[in-house]
Amino acid sequence: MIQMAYYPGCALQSMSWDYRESIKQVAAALGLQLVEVEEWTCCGATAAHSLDERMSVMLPARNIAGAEALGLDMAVACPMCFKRLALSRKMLQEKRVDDPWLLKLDRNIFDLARFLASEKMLEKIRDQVRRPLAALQVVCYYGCQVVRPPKITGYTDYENPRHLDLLAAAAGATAIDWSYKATCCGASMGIPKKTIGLTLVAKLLSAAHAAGAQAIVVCCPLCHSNLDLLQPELRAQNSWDWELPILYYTELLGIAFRLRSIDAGLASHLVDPRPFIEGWTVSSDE
Amino acid sequence: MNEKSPSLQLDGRIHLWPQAVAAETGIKASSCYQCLRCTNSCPVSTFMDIKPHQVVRFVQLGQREKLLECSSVWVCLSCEMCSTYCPNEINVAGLMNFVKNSVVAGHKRPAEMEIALFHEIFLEVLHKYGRMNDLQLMQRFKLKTLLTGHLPSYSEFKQEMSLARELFERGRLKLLPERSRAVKEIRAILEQRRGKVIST
Repeated sequence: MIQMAYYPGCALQSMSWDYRESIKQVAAALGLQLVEVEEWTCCGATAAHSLDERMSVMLPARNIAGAEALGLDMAVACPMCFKRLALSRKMLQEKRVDDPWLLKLDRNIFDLARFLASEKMLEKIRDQVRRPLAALQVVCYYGCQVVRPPKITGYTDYENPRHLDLLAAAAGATAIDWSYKATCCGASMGIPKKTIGLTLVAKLLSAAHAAGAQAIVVCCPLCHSNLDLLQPELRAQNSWDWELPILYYTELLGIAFRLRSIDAGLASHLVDPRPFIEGWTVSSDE
Repeated sequence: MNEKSPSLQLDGRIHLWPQAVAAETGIKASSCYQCLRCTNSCPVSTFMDIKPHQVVRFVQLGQREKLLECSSVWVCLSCEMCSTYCPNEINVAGLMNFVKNSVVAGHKRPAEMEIALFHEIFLEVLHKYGRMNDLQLMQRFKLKTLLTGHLPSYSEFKQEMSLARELFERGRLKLLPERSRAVKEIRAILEQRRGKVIST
């Protein structure tokens, strides 16, 4: 049993509960115990730093304190939260802000997806696959927050991240190379400025389709919302005769593990992946 | 920028502001040699009135007012492509953010009111609950933009309603917002904010 402090982030408690459920089920199957940081609070997301940068350091800091109280490394589900927490930690380490919590900063902060793609966890994942998705071709879409800026995330593969590709491969699927792995989806800009959101998302969806993907694998609640929720409108606008299910990596793993408990989450997507699943597996008599 | 380039006013003061920016943020705009890599990597530069490389240039030239009035900094997605790909390691997104912060702290009217209000409402929900809730955020934002004179067109309204209905039917919307018991600590942090978005 591996134990980690867990910071789900607000999106998972709200509209992106499908991601939260799939994490819960997959973690249980892998023997990963995620201990929620007690009374965690919002990281401040884009709003806090846009209006006052100091807020964007202070808001995550009290959650880092919560993880330290547990004495565990912290796994973060949402890329936005991950970046805000990692940035806050760095600012505190460099003593660029006051630290009323007297943090030790001796614990690591992990992006959950990247943690699951470590060799040790991949092995456990392969052991759990009951239904390899051998007929499925996906593109993996990482978005911005979990890779950039490399000075904060600490990753050297920011131009061509691979961890979701590794997870997809472990589920038996084929991850196709494409050029939009880390291109921004517009985040929440689609709410105040819809044209911007629609333009960026249309580009990503058509690039994924052109690459030959049958689904897009994501790790971010904002990316998921944009790619899934804007699809009906974009299909009508552009007369697309195709649709692309958008799956969290944990949903993809859940499907391959044959976890029925994630079905309600899948059913909440606007592009329902369930009718496609049968076609993604290769039946034994073929 | 189709307008004439801003003229240099050589009274000496213009050189103080870029230095002050560097001192406060640690970002050295002076390293920029206008290679345009930031603008070329930006996914939303087409939506900007002043392009990212011009933002850096205006900082060098001390054109503070011009920057405080531009819409680009609000359109910026903080995707950090510019900062990542700058050959001189200038944190361009950080400069954009510094300008946004200065607009708010200086009680100036943001050039992109809806975007600024969206951020403001986000912090308002955060102040109330300690956590974000999508439905609260959307409702409050829609109300606020209505009150500040933004009326959606009929087709916009229809589209939004049909999406909301679909989300509700699929069980995506969580009607009751969660509250963190640590909300008091969040309020104490948020009350140290400098300035607020001016919406009138």
